[in-house]
Amino acid sequence: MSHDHPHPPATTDEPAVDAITRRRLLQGLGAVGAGLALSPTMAGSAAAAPQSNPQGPPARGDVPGRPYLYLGGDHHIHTKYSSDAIYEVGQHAAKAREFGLDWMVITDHGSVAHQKFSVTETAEDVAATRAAQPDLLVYHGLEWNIPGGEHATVFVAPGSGDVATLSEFEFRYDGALLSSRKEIARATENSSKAENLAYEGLRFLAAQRAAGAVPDALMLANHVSRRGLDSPHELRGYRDATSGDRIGIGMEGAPGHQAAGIPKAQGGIGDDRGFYGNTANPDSHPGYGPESYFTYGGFDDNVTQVGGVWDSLLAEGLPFTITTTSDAHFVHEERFRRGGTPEQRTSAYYNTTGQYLPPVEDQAPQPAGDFWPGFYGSTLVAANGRSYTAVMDGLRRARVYAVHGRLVDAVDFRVDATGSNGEKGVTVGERTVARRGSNIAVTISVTLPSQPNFHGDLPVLAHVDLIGGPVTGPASDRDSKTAPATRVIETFEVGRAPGKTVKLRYRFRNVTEPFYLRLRGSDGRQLDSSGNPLVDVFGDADPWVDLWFYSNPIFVDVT
Amino acid sequence: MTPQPGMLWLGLDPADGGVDERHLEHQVLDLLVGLHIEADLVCTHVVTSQGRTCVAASARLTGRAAGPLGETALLDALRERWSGAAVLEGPADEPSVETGPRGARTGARTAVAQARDGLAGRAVRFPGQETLDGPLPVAAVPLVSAVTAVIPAVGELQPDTVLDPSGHVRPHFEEGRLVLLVRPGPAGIVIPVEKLNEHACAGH
Repeated sequence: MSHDHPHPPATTDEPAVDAITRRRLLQGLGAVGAGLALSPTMAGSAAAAPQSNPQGPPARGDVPGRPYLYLGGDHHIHTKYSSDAIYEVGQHAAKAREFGLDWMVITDHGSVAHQKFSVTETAEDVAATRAAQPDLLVYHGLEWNIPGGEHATVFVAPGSGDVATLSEFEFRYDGALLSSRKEIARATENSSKAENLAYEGLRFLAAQRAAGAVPDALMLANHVSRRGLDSPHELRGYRDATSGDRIGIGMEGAPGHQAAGIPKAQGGIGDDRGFYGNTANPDSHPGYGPESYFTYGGFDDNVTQVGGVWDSLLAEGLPFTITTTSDAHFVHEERFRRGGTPEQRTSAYYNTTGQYLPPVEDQAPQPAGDFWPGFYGSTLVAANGRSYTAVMDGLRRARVYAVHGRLVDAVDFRVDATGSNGEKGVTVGERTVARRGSNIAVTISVTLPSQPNFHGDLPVLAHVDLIGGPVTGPASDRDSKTAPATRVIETFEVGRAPGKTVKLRYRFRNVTEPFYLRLRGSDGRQLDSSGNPLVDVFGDADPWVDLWFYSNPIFVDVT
Repeated sequence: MTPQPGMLWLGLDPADGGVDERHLEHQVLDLLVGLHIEADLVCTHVVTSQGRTCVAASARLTGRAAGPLGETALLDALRERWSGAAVLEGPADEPSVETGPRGARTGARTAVAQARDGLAGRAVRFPGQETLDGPLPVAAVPLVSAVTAVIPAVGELQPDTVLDPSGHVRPHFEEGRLVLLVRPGPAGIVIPVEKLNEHACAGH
């Protein structure tokens, strides 16, 4: 989806449709008692109704300054420079544009061969693609084997030292290279030595940024719960490894490989959505139970558990950006195979060259686990401009929505502590200050899809949940994985109204303690009785009938 | 060393730094076949001692090892390919024989004690495993195999819920019970949490 217009679009003077409160799970919060952290301080009431807009076009994205551009992207894409992938950089870029993305990151796997052969060649392809696709921001990155952890996206903004930075980073800090030099036993080795190498790597990137070698650098952990390798303390460690602006800013809220659960009877590979569904291994964090190794509604268990791992990080009062990506290696129903002789299509060939020959399109459509960038998921970033550094700034500040299957065209989530009606509030990823005892207005403007998604369906946004919890400060236990007081505060029912903008409202009265708020929405087809997503079933998880979006949080400080 | 009466348990530590239980599973099953050792319960274990994490294996011997060849000859055979091995007899706390460097002995002893006491271990072979070769109600699983309980990793189970073992059943010991963790599968059935093919190693 393309969101290169100021946001929300100036269509909100159209009559918005009815949206009614379906449930109020925290109804009568004020009576719940002081022991609950959400407590009387967050006693609230909801209203969702057609809104005229007496003040003309709404406030736009920013509080002071320019309107944000909402730019969709994907930070996890593999090419022929990965031993397990196939496509050209330029192919992905063309598809990303076709499917409405504004930015993308090339993230081939770190390995000895990749570091030795591929980094420079990728840079040349990225440069050529930037020239061929002037409307697309194409970042050069890496899928880092985090020492002691999972994979992660690492990427940089273009700069004089970008290739050297990526190359040196991979050489010094990629788990595959470290283990090849016997500095650690294996990339995922669960040891403090390995962890510290990861934090050193992030500090190296910060130093390169400070030295001007790259304008910016970011890291996001990928498919975090797939193997249980990134413990809560490691996620906090990535976040806190650097002083000043963070380098480790977040994680995939939803992994790629969203086609992997399509049933064989529907022409899919009938595996696990996201290629999750693994079991613990000796390097896994023992605190993660077996239920955490699955996706729920296509999202990672860290994120889908209300009051779970992600909320435990947010309850510390800091952002930790969640996203969605394609992790595209082989795309479902595509006709490509690797080019060259049979020998040239093997990983042995890759290991001596760092790449495969250009793919050849001569097969019948093949089932596979992945979608093209933008085809299913989009990471929507509120950016101060269409530039490499602006998108990275938006990601770092968590001005981000993760959207599947074009469930919404746009979301404008606002929290207003100024005493007005919510239109002047701060937006996602931002922070506002409320006077103790004052009231807080929440306005969620959702623009419903006006045209079919890339599966040919016009999605229906059935529900939006307002989720929140108290900010309780730094976790005393760095492996804490719960935020017990975080809960669904309000569920709004939305419904079918293509192209319309719905306003959902909620008001907190007499706030006394800091808190945060976030959103999730769904097509309502696969929910449990509490409105939570269902576990994705092995071999039977059609992603097109289980659509969700998640926002990042807004923080409310109280003085 | 003469054969001892009572049940014999063998612990093995490859001490090769590997941590892949599936890889070890094939190694140990091949070993048992190669040495003509009969065992009705074979497990892999994750063992951590002195900051070192590794995988080790255990086997409950049913035939030949208690026979004429004897334990010493068995250990001689193992020594060539395995860094550490230990044999526990019945309820004994100390191995009747063991071999290998100290770290690997510890791994082997830990593994064999875990299995013997039902505290931990992932069973790759267990009594009744061969009967779990097609769909059956979860309530029937403890009746036809050594699995004590079928537990859902997520969601709920009814006794008549159908389990499709898919040819790969790897229950684990926990508090004296042999537990099979299951999860929702297609069309209302459940499947073991551990899949035959995990996307754990490759680049994905």
